[in-house]
Amino acid sequence: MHQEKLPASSEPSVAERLASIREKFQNNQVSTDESSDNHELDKSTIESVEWSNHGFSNWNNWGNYG
Amino acid sequence: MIRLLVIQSTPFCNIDCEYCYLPDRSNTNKISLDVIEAIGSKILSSNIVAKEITIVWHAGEPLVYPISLYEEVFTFFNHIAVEKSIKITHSFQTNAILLNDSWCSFIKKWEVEIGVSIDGPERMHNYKRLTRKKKGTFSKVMNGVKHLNRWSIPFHVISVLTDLSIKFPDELCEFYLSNGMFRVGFNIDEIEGYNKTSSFENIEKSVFSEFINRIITWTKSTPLEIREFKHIRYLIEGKRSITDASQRDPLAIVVVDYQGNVSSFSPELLGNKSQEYGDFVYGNIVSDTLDKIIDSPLLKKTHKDILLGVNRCKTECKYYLICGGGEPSNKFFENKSFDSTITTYCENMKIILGEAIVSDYERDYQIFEV
Repeated sequence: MHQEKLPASSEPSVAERLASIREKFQNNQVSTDESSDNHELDKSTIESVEWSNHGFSNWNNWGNYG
Repeated sequence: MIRLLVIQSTPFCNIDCEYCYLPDRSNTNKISLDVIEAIGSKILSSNIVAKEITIVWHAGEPLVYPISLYEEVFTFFNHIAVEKSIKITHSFQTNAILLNDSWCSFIKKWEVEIGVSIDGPERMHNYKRLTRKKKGTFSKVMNGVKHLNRWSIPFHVISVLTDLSIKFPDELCEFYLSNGMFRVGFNIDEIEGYNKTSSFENIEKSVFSEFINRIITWTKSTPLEIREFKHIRYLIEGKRSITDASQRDPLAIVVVDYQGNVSSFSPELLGNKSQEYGDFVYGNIVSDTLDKIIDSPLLKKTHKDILLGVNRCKTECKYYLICGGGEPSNKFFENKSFDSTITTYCENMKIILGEAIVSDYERDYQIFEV
């Protein structure tokens, strides 16, 4: 059955939505670490983080290129 | 701290994209060694340079500048890096047209990071990325990409999204994946600097939202990574803070043009003129000391006005938490004021894109389902 949309005032704010996601994300991270046999971080995750951190401010996110 | 230095080796560009923001791209002047020496002695040798700094050669086509001169410049900068115990990473943001074996050999030798500007498959790329004779540049760019792949040089891609490309997300992603382009940044065809119109002005929000959702699906089932998705995901996951937004901090990004003029904040500002902010130049690296540039009243005024705009975003926009206050140049060129809020860029690339990413997490984590 179709459920009625909550009134705007009852909808969670962006801050609340982000807090819920972050909580779930952190719980997920913990359970992943605990279930790992050797507690080694996944290599692809490490590479991905390195790429992003290294390239973030360096990765030119401005303008249109000629 | 200076973390990103953008150096304009030449304002000239060998092509003439319809959406380009650079006003001076037919000027064939090149940066002089006096300017290079001043950058080395006054910026790279200063104590406000971060331990790891990236130098992006851009704001004109960087490969127009001769390899022999880059060799000289990189060697000089390398001496300073060793002396000061800093790490310099060079980066070219290029249209790839001039890439050949000599360039690839140079890029390999100096481990230069490469960003290729390409807007997708031929019909999307040739829509706006044209020669001065209005011919498409796709085949020339792909020839450069072939060189990079043959030399096993990793590269990322920056694509400017247009009203055409956002209608065909599958075609766009298939193109990236079939050409070894796994790291992609999206810019949008926006009103900025010399470019006074945007094909995004008349785009329905739902169309862009569908495009983003489709791209998200691709990124979840393939190696494709989108820079803007990662930015927002990192903010959401608490791996980064919105205060890391470097375009609002004075001299976090330093831009030096071929004449030694120094600007900051958004790199697109340099080369444009304004009644209130002049030419956005805070000094000249050859004739001024770095201290004088840092003390520039115009730099301080610009910073103050940018922060006013950021604070307005903070109080007025519920998406501030995944944005941090917008890009100063977009605000200035679209709203005619740094002390302003919403722009076409943030409507699309922060709000619609951010909403799509947040909703994607909520679906994955089954949050707030109705």
